[in-house]
Amino acid sequence: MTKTAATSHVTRLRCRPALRLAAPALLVLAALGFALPAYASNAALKRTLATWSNRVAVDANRVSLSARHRHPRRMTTRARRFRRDALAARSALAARRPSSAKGYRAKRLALAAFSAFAVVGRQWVLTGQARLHHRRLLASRHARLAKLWASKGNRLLVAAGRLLR
Amino acid sequence: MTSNKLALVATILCFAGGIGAATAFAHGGSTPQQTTTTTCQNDEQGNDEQGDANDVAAAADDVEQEAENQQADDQQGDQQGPNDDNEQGDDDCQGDEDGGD
Repeated sequence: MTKTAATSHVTRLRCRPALRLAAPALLVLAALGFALPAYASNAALKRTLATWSNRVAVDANRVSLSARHRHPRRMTTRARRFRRDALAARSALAARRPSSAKGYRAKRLALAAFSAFAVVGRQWVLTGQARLHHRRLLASRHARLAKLWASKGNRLLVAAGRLLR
Repeated sequence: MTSNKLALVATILCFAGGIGAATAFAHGGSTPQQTTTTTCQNDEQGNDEQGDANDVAAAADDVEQEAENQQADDQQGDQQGPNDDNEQGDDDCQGDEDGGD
């Protein structure tokens, strides 16, 4: 009995330094394990938002250029591309899993923003088509609608970006 | 006594390592943003959403203005070539300068 107790005491003494070394290391690793996926997830959402908003802005520039040069046919083609990219942005963002409540809110806003941009693209296409058929009143009505949806989408996009900063 | 010192040193090293890793990830997170800005030089390197929103707003203004414009369309320049369907060269932002328009 005495011998067994002495043996266990010796074993405990031997283990103690190892435990003392391992415990803080495990603690730090566990903390990093919890922190990193959260960071990575929100960062991925932010990257996706930045990439697609940039792409949609480039598409919008092209539409603008065609409009200024009075090239409705080209404008219609580019507006279709704008819409396609807005819908692709929606799909890309929907695939992201944010890690915090803020991230979820940002994702919801961003999805709404790109939905609004898809409507803008559709209205621009209709504007171009109306212009091609020389229906000026109809063209300006669609262009006004596009502008309304664009300002709505812009507000949502900026709010989403601000949440992810 | 020696093991206590050893544990203390190990703890400090672990925390230092943790801080280093966190810093490295923080830098790693900001790098992709910089690479995306370099893909399009014309976008004023502003990858922020405000700049992109401004671009869309400006485009909406231009389209509205042109829709209300009574001037005839430039039909000759609006002839679609083969590049308009597949829109080649779109990813390098060359269309922003001349756009083939």
